[in-house]
Amino acid sequence: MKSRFLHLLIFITALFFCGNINAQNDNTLYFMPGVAQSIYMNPTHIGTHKVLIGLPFLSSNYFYLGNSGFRYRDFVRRSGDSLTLNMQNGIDKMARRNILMTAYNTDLLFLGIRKDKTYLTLNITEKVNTNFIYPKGFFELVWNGNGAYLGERLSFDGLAINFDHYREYSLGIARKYGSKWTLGWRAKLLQGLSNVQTTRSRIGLTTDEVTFDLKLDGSLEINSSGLYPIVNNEESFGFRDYFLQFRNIGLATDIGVTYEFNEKLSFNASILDLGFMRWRNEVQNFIRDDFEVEFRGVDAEEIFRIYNQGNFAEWQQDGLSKVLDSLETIFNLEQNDNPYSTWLSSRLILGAHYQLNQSQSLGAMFDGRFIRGIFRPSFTMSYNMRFNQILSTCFNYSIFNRELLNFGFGLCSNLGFLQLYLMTDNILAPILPTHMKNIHARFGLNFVFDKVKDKAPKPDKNKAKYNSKAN
Amino acid sequence: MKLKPLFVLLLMVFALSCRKNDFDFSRLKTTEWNPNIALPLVNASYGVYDILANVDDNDLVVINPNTGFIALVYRGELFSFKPSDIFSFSNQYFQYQLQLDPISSANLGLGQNITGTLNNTFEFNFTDNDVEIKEIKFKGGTLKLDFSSSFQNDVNLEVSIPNLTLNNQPFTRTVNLNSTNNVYIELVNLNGYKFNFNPINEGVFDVKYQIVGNTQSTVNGSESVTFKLGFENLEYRHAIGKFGTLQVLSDRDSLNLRIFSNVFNGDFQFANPTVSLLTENSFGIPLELKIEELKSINLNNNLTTNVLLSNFTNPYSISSPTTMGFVTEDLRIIDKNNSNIKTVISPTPQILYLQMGAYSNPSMGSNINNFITDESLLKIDVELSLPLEGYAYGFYILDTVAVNISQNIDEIESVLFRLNITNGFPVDLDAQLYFTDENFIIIDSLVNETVALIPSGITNQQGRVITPTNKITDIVITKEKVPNIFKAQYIIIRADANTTNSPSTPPFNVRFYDDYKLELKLGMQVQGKILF
Repeated sequence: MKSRFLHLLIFITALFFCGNINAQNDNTLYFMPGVAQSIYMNPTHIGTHKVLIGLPFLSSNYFYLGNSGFRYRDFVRRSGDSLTLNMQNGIDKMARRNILMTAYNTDLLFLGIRKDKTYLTLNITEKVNTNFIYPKGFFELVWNGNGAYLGERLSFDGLAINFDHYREYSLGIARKYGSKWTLGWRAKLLQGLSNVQTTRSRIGLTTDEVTFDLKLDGSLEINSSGLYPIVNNEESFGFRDYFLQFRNIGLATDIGVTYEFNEKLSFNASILDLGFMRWRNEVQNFIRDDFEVEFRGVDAEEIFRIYNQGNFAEWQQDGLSKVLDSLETIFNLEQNDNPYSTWLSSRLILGAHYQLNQSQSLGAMFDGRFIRGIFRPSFTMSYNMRFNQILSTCFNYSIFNRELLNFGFGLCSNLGFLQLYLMTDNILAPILPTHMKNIHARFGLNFVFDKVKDKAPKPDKNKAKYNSKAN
Repeated sequence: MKLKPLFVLLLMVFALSCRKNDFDFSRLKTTEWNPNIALPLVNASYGVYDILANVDDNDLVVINPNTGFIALVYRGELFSFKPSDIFSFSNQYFQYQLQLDPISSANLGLGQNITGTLNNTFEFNFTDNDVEIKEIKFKGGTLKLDFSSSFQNDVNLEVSIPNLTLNNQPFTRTVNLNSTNNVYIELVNLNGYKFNFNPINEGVFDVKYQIVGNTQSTVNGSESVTFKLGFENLEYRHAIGKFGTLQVLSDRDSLNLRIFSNVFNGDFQFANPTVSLLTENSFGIPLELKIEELKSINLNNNLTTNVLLSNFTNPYSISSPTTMGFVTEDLRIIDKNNSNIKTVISPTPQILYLQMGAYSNPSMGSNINNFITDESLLKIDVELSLPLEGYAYGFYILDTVAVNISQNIDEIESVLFRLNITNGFPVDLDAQLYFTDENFIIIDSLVNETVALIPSGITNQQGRVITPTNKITDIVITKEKVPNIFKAQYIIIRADANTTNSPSTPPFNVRFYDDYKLELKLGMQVQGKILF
């Protein structure tokens, strides 16, 4: 039993480290249980209406653009009426490896049904995610030149492009057990449409400090699926074939548990996107096993040849062609069409919620995940206020993506059978774009029916005692 | 009231944010980019063979397989005249008219036989009166037979030349002439025929004629038969005889010593240079060879140095083969023991000039039969061998290469060239580059003084390198120098070299082996300054 548990722990840990894309942030959503889509962040959330219906492209739209490496103003700053480019400052701000991420999700269907303490959900969501992992060394090489790093290995390890487009079919259930525990589980069937995954990327350039010899080493493996007909502009490509094919299948799950410590304080723990995809359709894999190429200059024979021709201008071309030949050798990639798997970027969510009073609450959340070996934690604190049965808001502050300046805001309004919501994890992004690393928005419109009435809050015993004494 | 601070905060944020100019790149100030690029330019390893073979790949680098010791060899060839230039034939024509009278025409009546047999002797005329030929075998030419008869009767004519044989059978022709067909002409291919002349009278041969006929009509006594023989376009496969004294060779050759092509100065001593004369003779004639002129020429200063032979016999005789198709060889070596050859090579000449003559039958009066074949040849291979042992100092090499470096030099702050040389040769090397304009006027130099690039490898007492030396030299070209270098049209390369411990008394000879290596690595580090 102990061994099984250990194996399970190792497996889950591996999933966290192998996680690829789907690296989206949605911190504000976590603190807005009134929005049915909050189950995407907390599967134990139980909806406030007995029936909720979301229609295609209306119920939920999600945009995210994030760059962990730098802000615009790290490179470009105002100086009087002019702008100043400070490349070195921007480079200094970068981590060894940095991620540029974009994501767009939209619900094609959302259905939520509440029955007493049980909440059932069904959603079909289209997801497109891209991330580009760029090493700091690449910028250092371009800006400072290799001569500034003699004897060092300029690392471009991890340089990667990852992209996937898939459709998520999910069934979820959340149920409250007793007065303390709520368990949530979502089972997801994933329909992969296209994918690019940099499985292995290790590239380094070393300049010998004495001879200036250049050594390029590394290895590379890029998998792709579903893109061959598009990239090659094949006439056989059809949108129907692309959007409706079911050859790339994946499974994933979200599980969560909420414990109500008392009437005011509750804790939540969830694991999201624990799963994988198997890519079989139009697979093209590009592989370059370990290589090490050295360029040491033009050899003796070439020198004599150039010398005898008496024109050293050719030397430059000859040297350049040798370098290009070497590069051609390096990037002479092997190809195969073997199916491959990708892991979703699994996340561990730990949250706490404290109800200040009937309309106000505080919250905190830790979101931890690995993207291609890069640990990307985020921490969010929130203040939530419900003005009445119609309007609820969330103000929050997050630290994520190596950025401190993330003030989030969410708004949810229930107007009869319409539920409108709008939220962002970084409300300053449109205002101070040069200062931001993250741009995020989620908005939508749900059709809600038959709101479940909240139980009347229990009288505050202390307050009652005080009042009775006072009386 | 509670919302007031929030409102103020939002106002401030908006005040900060409404700056579209932040993305107006036309307002971007000029930025300075200072990349530092380091690149390897040259990675070369030169052996002795690589260098010498490159200097002239027509020359031969000879490596002693046992010791690895190296010699540089230059070769040339001198050739004899062609056999046909030495001895040839002109066309030869002979004629004889046979009349009836001598055959006793008075006795002939109708129905009687006509018979007669006569011999005649002819003699070939050779172009050289001293030549006495005993035998010729032809490989080409024709014998033209032209017979005519004035008889009104049928006659059979038979002509035979006993001296002219094919497969040991004498040449014979029998023809029939009559009143209507009274002329006979034939061209006989002489290929394979052998002419044995009368051994007493060289060039003399016999012809026999016979006439047989029948008198069907009246014979008046004035009839005759005319025989014409023509030897035309004769080519021989061989000729045996006495050819007398002939000049069979007068040829000259110049060896281009490219190892010294770009050497402009200095003292250069090879310990043991040699000139070898290897003769191959397939003439069946004793020959005498004479070195008529042997000298070195330095084209840079027009210094000519003659080879003075001391213990070397000149002219000298060489033997001849006694059988056709065989070749005799003769080797003569001119070295430091029988000449001043060391002195001749010392001025670093670019040319070694040799003129030789050869004469046949130097000892006239002998009765030795000579022969010449159509393939007879006298060939003299001249070989200058320079075993790489000796010393050199004070010499330098100059060479010029065209350059066209079309780079934006404004973006270059400085350039560092790093030379990393491991020298396994017993030679100290210095170098300098001069940058010139299109008129070869020096506009700058790489360094202020000649750079001591690399000292010689460490040698043992025998002059063999036992430990290579290594040295790294950084040459920094500052921004002030960069324009001159980049606008240069030509680079003059000067390389100074001294063998180790030179000059010294007594001179210290070094030796070159095939395992010597010069490893050269050249790297370049450019500090850029780019404004954009």
